Amino acid sequence: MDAQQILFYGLAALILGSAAGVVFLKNTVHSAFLLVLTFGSIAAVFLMLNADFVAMAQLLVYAGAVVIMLLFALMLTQRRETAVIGGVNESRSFVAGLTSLLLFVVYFRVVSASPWGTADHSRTVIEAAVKGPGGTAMIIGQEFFGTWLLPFEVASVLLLMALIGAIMLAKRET
Amino acid sequence: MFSVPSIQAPFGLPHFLILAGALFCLGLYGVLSQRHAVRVLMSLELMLNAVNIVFVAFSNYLPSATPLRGQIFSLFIIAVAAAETSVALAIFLLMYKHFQSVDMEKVETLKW
Repeated sequence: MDAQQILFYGLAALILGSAAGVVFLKNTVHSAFLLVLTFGSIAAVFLMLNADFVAMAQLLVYAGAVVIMLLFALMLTQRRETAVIGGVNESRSFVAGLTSLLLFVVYFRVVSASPWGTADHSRTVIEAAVKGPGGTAMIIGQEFFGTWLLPFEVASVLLLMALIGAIMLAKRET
Repeated sequence: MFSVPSIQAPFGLPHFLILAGALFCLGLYGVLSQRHAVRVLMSLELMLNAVNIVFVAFSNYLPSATPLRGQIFSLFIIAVAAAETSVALAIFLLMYKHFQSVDMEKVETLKW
C-alpha cells in the first residue's frame, strides 16, 4: 500500500466517520460541526484528484458559507426550552436504512464489476494542467468564458434569484 | 445469494466511486429519516458532495471532449447547492414562524 492509498483510506475514514456523525448524532449543532469536517475532508479528496480550484471553492462555499447559514438557521429556529435535538421518524427510519443499504450494495456490485480499465487516460493531461501556470483555475476560467459561458451566466442569474427569493421569504412583515 | 465482490482493481477510480456511494447512502438515510428540517438539509448536502466527488473523480481518470468537464460541472453543483440551501433555510424560517417548530412531523396541514 503506497502513500496515496494510505492517504485515500485515511480521508475516506474521516469523511464517512464525520458523515455518519452528521446523520446519527442527536445534537444538531454537533452534527453541523462535523459537517465542516466532512466538507474539509472532501476538499482534501478533491486535491488528491488534481482539482485544486474545486477544492478551494468547496472550502469557501460549503465549509465557509453553507455551514454558517445552517448554524444561523439553527439559531433562529430554536425554541428556548428545548435544545436542537434531532430525532428520527421511527417508522420511516427502518425502511430508510434498508433502502440506503440496498442501494449501496447494488451500487458497490455495479462499480466493482465494471471494467474501468487500469489506464488513467487523461491523468497525464490533468497533471500537466495542474502543474502549469495558473493550475486548473486558468483552464476552468478559459472554459467558463468559452464553452460554458451560457451556463455560467445562467448560474449567476440563479444566484440572484435565490438571493431575492430568500430575502422575500424571510423578511419581516411590516 | 449475496457474494460481495471486492475491488481487485489496482487503486484508482473505483475506490473514489465507492467512497462517494457510501457518502450518498448515508445522506439518503439522513434525508429520509430525520425529523429536524435543518438536519434533512445537512444530509442533502452530503448527497450533493458525494455526486461532486464522482464528477471530479471521473474528470481526473477519464478523458473528456472539453478539458476538465467534471470539475466545471461540480462547480455548478456547488453554486446551485448554495442557492438552494439559502432558499430552503428561508422556507424553514417561515415554517418556524408559522408552526413554532421545524419538526417535519408537525408540518402536516397538507396531508390527507
